[in-house]
Amino acid sequence: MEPAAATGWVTKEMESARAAADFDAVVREYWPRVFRFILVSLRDRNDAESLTQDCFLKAFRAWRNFRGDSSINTWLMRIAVNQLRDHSRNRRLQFWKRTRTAGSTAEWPVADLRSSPEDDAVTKQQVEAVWRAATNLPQQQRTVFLLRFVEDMDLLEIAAATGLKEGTVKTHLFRALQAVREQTGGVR
Amino acid sequence: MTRHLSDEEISAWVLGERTPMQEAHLAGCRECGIRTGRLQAALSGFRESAIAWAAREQHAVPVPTAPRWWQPRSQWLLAAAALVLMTAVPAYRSYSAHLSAARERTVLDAAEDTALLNQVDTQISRAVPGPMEPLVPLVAWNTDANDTHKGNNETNR
Repeated sequence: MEPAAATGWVTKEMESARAAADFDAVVREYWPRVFRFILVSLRDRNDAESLTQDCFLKAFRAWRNFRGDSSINTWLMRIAVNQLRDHSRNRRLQFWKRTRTAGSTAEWPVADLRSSPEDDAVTKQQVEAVWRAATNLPQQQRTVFLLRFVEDMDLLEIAAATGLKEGTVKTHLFRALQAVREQTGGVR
Repeated sequence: MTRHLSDEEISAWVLGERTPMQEAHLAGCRECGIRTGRLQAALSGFRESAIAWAAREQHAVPVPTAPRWWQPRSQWLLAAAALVLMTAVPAYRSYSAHLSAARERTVLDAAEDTALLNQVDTQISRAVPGPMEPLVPLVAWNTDANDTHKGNNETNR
């Protein structure tokens, strides 16, 4: 083994180790968000955990090539959106589809809402209605809806994460919100 | 603007598309304020419930605090192995060369020792001291002659 080549290789390994250390920090910060987005999208903890791992594994492999053109959050969400798309396409395990076809009375995770007792029942009903509405949205609309109203991303970030044009994102959001409003009875 | 906001306008409002006229109307219209506020509250409640639910689910499956599965540990092992090889191979080569030289030296030394031993053996095996060696042929001849004479005497007997 040539010493120069060996040194280069060791340097490369050290860079790799540094990148791994940086990535550890990314994981600690962004894992909860990615997991939450996937969990709310799929409503299946096991699938969400598995997909989040896949997402971060994919992100780690691409980490060296990440140039910071978008924020790390947007970049990770884009990977997550693609993972979800592939997951839905390939495995067809989506809770949303099952729920929609079965028309079941699913339990909505509204128990943790911190509202005043008098508003409690009304708020829970409205929130359950939003969950139900989100269930019935087409996948792309639901993705855009969740990125906006759960992950609190703006239009440009959502466009970057989904690969859609800003105008298309706006249209999806508007339609999704209309559907939600109809499901919630106009929220009157 | 005197008319109430339409459903579409309320959706657009929630999405951030607001005109000064709508803002002025909302500031003074209780009904539109309630409708808009309820939709926003429902969406906030949805977000809150999603975050709480995800946090609860994630508590059961915590973020890997010592993430290992994406760390290239095998690469570290390879790097360590390479370093060991990088130091061990030259050391072995040096040791091997040293060993070979030592063997050659041993063979040469053995040959020299053998030669010396032979020389010593030759010297201590001499029948007479070195200075008397020129006389050895004479003595050797006399001995032979004596032996011959002795043999003749025995025959005569």
